Amino acid sequence: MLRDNHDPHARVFVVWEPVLITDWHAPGAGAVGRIPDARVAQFWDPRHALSHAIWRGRVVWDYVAIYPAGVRWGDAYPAAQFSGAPVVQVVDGFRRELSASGL
Amino acid sequence: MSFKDSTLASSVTAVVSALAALSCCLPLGPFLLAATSAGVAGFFLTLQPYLIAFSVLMLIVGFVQAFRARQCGRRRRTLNVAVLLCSTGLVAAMLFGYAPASAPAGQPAVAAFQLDSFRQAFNAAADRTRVVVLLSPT
Repeated sequence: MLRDNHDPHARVFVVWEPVLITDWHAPGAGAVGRIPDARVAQFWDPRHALSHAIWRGRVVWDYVAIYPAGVRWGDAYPAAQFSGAPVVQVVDGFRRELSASGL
Repeated sequence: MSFKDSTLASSVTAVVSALAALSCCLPLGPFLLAATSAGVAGFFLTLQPYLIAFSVLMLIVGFVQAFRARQCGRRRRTLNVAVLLCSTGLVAAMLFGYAPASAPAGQPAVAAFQLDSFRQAFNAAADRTRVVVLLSPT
């Protein structure tokens, strides 16, 4: 998806978190290497802190969200312009919204 | 405790402490919820480096005990050797996983997630479109 979008100003936050029984440890080179785009910053969140912030104590994963310019994170986690999970089921909508955002 | 028993005990201890080090990451929710809490998981997360070091120490003790048992002319029990080797493999796998992966070229290093610093990074890019993705490593 990122290969199809060339806006150098876009910012992508990829947050890895343990969900499956095989998620013993932080993502290895194989996982982080799947997203080689320079616009990306990757994180390891073993305590699901972001998940809990997004969905009040529940674990959300295989999830993608778009936040347009101007949206700020204040006291509460901001509402997304588009969000959905699992990614494979929302990828078409995600692409449409990303294009609509000018990316 | 005999050499055989102490070798086995060292191996098992290494595995138990290694598993304790991982308990913050293992999604064993239904099983762990009955016995522990998020606070305990956080406690183990804090102790993770020490528990991993303890695992390595126990493995060393296990190998020393096995070596000494051989020097004393005792026959090795297959179970002891199997547990010791499995423990070594498990701890090695965890040590490999504990090392942070390098980020692809052009990206900052993979960072341990901190909510406040993530919020700052998110807001610092408020002049542009942002995408947030949550994924499982495997």
